[in-house]
Amino acid sequence: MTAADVTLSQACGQAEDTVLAVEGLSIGFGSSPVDLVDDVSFRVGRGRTLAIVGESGCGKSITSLALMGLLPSPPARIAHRSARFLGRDPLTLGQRAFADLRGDRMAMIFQEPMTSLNPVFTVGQQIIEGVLRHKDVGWNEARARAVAMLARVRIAGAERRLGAYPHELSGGMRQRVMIAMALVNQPDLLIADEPTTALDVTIQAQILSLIEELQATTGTAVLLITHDLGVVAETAHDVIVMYAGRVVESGPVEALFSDPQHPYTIGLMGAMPSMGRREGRLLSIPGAVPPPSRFPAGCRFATRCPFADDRCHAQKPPMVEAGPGHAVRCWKAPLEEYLPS
Amino acid sequence: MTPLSRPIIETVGLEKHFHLPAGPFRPAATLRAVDGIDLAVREGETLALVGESGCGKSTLGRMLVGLLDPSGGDVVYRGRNLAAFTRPELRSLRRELQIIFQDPFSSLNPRMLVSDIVGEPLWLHEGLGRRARGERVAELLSLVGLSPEHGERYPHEFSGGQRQRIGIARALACGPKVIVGDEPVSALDISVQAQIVNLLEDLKERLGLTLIVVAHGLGVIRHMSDRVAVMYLGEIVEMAETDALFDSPLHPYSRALLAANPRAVAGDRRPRRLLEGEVPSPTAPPSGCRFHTRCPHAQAICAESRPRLAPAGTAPRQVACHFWAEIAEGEVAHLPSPVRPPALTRRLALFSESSNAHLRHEE
Repeated sequence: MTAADVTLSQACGQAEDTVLAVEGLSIGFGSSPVDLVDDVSFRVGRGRTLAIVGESGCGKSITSLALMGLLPSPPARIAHRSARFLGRDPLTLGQRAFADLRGDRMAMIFQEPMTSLNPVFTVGQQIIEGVLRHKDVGWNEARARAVAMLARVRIAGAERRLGAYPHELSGGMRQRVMIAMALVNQPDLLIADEPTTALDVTIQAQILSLIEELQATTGTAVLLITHDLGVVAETAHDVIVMYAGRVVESGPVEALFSDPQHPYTIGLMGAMPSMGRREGRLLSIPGAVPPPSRFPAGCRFATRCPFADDRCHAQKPPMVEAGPGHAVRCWKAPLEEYLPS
Repeated sequence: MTPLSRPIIETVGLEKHFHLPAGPFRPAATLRAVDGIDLAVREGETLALVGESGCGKSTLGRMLVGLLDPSGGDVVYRGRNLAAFTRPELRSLRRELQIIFQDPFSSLNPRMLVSDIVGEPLWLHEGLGRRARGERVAELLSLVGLSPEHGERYPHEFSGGQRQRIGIARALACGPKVIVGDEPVSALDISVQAQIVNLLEDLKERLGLTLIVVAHGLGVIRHMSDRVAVMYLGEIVEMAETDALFDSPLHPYSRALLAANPRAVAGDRRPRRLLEGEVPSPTAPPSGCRFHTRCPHAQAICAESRPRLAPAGTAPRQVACHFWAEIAEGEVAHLPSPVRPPALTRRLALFSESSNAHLRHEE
């Protein structure tokens, strides 16, 4: 990555090209005092892909549901310092205003396309409904758009497939239909929550390149939620790594992979088997993510971190800069300087 | 690993066809899940069966340990055909052939205590009394990194990784020789996945096991296995030593599969030839080479004649393709190994050192 690229990614993050910017998002549930998502901030620019990476329970999916206005509140308690989506704060919108936004300016695709498609309506009815709801067009025009969109996601015989029910399609096809449905109104933001996790690797490659291609032509910003670092490396421009509800590291994808700072990021990279020749045993991060009731008061990774000391357990570390656009939430970054060698 | 150790399990023309009865919306059909497989599993090796959904890898894995009866062909265990075993013999054979399942949630009975889950095979096969069982269960639990007290809990009290350890303890209970891992880590988070992979490797080493890993995650396969069988629509299309396969896959399907796999190298946006379309239905597999409908190199003969799995190249390697030699000459599918950035390498070393120091401190 060149210096020019770095400035470009920063520019995209900040200029008027920002599609979505969130500051200090926190989400808790019911009467539990612990925030399952704690002080999360990020920006996505037009035509850019921001990946949120983390394992089960890190809060990545709740974050995306809150952004889509799909988290019922109560029981959810959603707090934030500021949020901007196309000049408005989406998190303060009422249900009705949000419904106008959803499926039009922002759209979402989920991991399991079978449960996200309605089994009793044809694919065509489901796509056309989205166009009619948001655009001032007649049925014929809406149908034409649906056909065109199905063809764009490379479904052969799009006209004919319009009449198909979800169960008649394979997993890869259903995910294509989901993408067509999400993108038919050319949204400014696409939230993709583990879009390829349920798919085989060759189908995954097709779907990822499809999203990338559509993004290049429409300029849609993509928020990609995933646990797969391989997918992140190949598709994202910027990354935030989450652990137990907090952002532990964020930055441009190249910086994150070449210079990972947080022990959790480092651990994840060492735990993932490399596609190269075997280099000894896999690194294993001891233990498991604690349940929210037992999150440590300080750094939430402290219970599993081999470098943790008393301060880590007691005090929440701040986000500090580690490079251009690259930040890390760790008392001991960079590690080399804090460790006796 | 002795590369030429004798086979512990062999299959000859192994087939499994499922007959699907006619339903309200579809005619009756025969699903050819596994269709003519000759395979030799060597004692002490880790053999991987790789392929995408519906390629028959799980069905094959289950037939290898006698959990499913073949509809054609034979499975031979230590020189004896499984079909020739009597019922009592088969029962005691189960002690030697074990399986670990993918889903640690549905494969453990939620109403049984962990000590009963792990102890049940001991009671069934060894007829051990309560006390002897208790001791053995405690040993098994510590072998897989759980503590003996965990035996007094129910499965729902454990995380996914811990449950997978319970499943492993159960498989180990009667001193198996061969273990089939049916996607043993694909339901787990990456950090937990690494723990289980390391555990399986340690146990294999300690107990002299033969492992057959059924998986679709190519990273795990490359890391764990000695040899790999790549499957497509019920057939083995390529069989090779792991490094040879990953360094230069020969079959067009293996090449496409490896090229599609993300490699965790930032900005690795390779222009690549993606496989078009999807896997045809195993109820109506294509004629000739089953891959010809999607193969970029297919010629007329591919639709007519089914290529046999035959030796290829210098290494003990087999490929089922009419044109593998021509294809390999035309373009080498060499995928450069990802290089670990120096900063990551340095910090990984720090991480392992500190982890080890931590462990020593706790002991």
